[in-house]
Amino acid sequence: MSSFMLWLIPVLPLAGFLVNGILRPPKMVAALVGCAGPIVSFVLSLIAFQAAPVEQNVFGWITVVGEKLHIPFGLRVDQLAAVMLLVVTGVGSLIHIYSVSYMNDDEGFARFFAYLNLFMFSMLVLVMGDSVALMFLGWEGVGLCSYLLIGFWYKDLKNADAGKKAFITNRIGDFGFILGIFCLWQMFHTLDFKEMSGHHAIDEKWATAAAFLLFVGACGKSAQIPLYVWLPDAMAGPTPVSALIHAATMVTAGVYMMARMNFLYVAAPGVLELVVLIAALTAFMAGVIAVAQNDIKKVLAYSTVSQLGFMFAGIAAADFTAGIFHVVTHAFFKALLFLGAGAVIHTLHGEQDIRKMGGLGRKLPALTAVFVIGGLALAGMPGTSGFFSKDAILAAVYLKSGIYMSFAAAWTLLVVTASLTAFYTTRLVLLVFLDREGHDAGHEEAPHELHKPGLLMMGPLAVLAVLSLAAGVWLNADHRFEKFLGPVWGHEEVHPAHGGHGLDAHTVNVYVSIGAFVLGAGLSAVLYARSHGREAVQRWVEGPMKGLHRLVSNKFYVDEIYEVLVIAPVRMGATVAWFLIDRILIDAILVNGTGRLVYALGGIVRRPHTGSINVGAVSFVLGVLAVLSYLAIHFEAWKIAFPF
Amino acid sequence: MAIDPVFAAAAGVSVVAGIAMVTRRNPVYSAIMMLVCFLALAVVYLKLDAPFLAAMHVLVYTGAILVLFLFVIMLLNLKPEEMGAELPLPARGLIALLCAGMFGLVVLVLMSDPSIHEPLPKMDPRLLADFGGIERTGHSLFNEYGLPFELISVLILVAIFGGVVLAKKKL
Amino acid sequence: MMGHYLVLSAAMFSIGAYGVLARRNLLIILMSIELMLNGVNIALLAFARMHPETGTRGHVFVLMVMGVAAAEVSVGLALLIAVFRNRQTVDTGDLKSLKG
Repeated sequence: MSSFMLWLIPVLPLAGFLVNGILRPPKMVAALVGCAGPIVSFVLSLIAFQAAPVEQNVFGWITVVGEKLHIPFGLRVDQLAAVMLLVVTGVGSLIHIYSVSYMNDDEGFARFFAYLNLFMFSMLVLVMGDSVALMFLGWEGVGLCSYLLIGFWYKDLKNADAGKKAFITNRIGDFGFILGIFCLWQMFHTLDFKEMSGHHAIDEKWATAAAFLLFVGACGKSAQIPLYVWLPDAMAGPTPVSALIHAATMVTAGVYMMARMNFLYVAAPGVLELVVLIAALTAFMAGVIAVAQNDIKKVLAYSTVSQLGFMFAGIAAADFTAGIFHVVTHAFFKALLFLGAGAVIHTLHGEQDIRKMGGLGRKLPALTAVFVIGGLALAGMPGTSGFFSKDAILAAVYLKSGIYMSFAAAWTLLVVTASLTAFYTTRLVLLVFLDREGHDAGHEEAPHELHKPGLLMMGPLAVLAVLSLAAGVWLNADHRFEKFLGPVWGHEEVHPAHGGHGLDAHTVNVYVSIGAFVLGAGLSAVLYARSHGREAVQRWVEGPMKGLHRLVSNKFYVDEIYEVLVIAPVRMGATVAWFLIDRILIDAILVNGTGRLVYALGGIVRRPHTGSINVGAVSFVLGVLAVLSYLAIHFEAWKIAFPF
Repeated sequence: MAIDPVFAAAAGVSVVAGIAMVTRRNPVYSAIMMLVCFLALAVVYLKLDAPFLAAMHVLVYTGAILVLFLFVIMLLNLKPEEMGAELPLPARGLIALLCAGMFGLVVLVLMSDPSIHEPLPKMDPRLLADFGGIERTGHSLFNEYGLPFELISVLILVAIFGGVVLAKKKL
Repeated sequence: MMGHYLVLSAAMFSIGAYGVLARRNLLIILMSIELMLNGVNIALLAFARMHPETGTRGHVFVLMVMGVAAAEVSVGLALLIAVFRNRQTVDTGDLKSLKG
């Protein structure tokens, strides 16, 4: 591939955005334009993948001569970027196709595709950028698109609020990211990835600072503690948005960034310990919350937060391949699950509460099949792609756990979380699709009246299901994924056979993974597959476990805590600022005060205008006298008049 | 420094009359005092070898202006209450002081000219016959100072117009 | 002596000034203005007498002053009558509509 075609990959979706956004064509045209961009970009990405590494400088973007700062708009596709490109354009295209059917009845059809295309553009710039600055451009762009798409149905204030929450929380992370960029500039005096990684000696203190700050940005974008709170709320957006942005691509940007900056993180082991702890804690906490959620999308949202924690844990264990592996597999099965959930919601005319579902397995067999596949992949059933990637991460963390206490703790949490994942996934699948005696979703309507998903929706689901099953096996064979990505980290990782415990880390983790799956899925099946299990759960929830259940299902009241600790003070500060500074200082004192001052001064100056002729005459005479006095003194009249 | 007694008398009368004039409440009294003052000043004019102007002074000021004043006073027919309140005493005192000061200052400045200590020069009949006389003044009025003369008549004409217009009841 | 005449002139002027400044009756004010003009006339004549080489210049000037005084008085009195017709007063204390 001649490198001059690289720029087409992001530009085609951008063109789609402009056409759909400005012209707002009718549905058929908008769908064609909207899907053409990502699909063609996918084809081009395949070509780029073959030719990787390849790069292209599109145009000189920022140049500051004095500081020798030169940031070109350059695109570079190495092996890592190639993988991400395929995921973004591939899964993206599938979701675009799905959206043609899903958003068919929406009047904002063209606007939706415009935003989706803009998102694709931003994400592709993020992935292909050759410098941190360009990556940040894409970073901000996806944040913007996330806001636009979450609040797509903006007429409902709740959706707009969710969009705002996402953007503001992201922004907080971005602040850290920007500071991190400044640190990088101080360290390297360049922001180009290749040039930065070529530096030999990296000062550990600066590296720690930069790594930490960049991780803060990643926490915002990829929903880790403490900046994860926006992702569950983001479910207010249309389901394809949740699938594309909040499962497959945007939220993985943080992981991608850390993989890109692998050389930096390798030089800051302290930060990596922090990362693994936060990641494991996030994964665990989100997993626990997911168990108690009853909205189908919320379960998947918390599941995403949890799986992101897994990805970060892999990165933290310096097994970047494992982290990226999980990014890829997660993109497949999570997108599948979200799109499937969208199909379920669509079929049930907007119902999202899983307690009101059930029996869909009989009515929609194809959808059930693909959804179950996705669920198994998420739960980590052996053989699915999710199993391989999760196992790789557990193994990586396990290896480090012999060296660091933090990793040991993290490993434990992650294993428990894997079990929880299996539990809540099975719960979800059973409650939605399994027959329930005496209670079936949509049972009022005859089966043929249910709004069954069409080909445009089932097609992408089928593709994703195949990938969820096969990708893991295929990528893991011969360690071909590791070998492919090896040159990016500068070495080819091959897992050492022994961990710090003297046992074969790999074998241990395989058994552990299988065990976690069986435990979680089995327990869930026992409880939820039959009605007396469900009734037992119901009694526990209303009885002895009531407090705990309320705590968990209210997401540990984190949002409420933030409201009190962070938002209320800010709001108070804003009110003070408004009242003190704007109302009092500016309005009353400066503006009105100046007016009144002028008025008062005028009042004083006005006094001589008595209107009295006498006063005027007297003043006149006084003036004359003043002049005369001056003359007299000047010419020293008295000396002449009385010469003594 | 010998003071001409005639001058002293005339000057004294005019000053006293002047002070009386500005301090009377009733405008008619003021007008009468003004008459006395002007007549005394006419004498002073004569002492300054200006007979023509002394005559003019009496004709114009006392004969015309003063009479006009009296006419207007009669026309207004002010009752004592309407005659206008006086300024409070302190104010009047201050203004008196002011004017006294002004007087002092002017005198000081005037005295700085050395020529004032000299007596009036002797009149040389060959040089200046008929100084201040009507023939001489009239002659120069019509010849040298023809323009100012004409202009002053224009001014008076304008004043006539102004007076008539302003005093009309309806324009 | 020249100085005497000038002192008289200054005195006339000052007295007239007092009348203009300290009195509130418009008629008195106008009369005081005449007095001031007279003071000026005396000064002019004194100087003219002091320097006879100037010829009739001083006298003509005094004549001009008298003419102006006459014109000014007539117009001033006409104004006064107009004011009296509108405001029924000749007290300057009542004529304060220009008060700012």
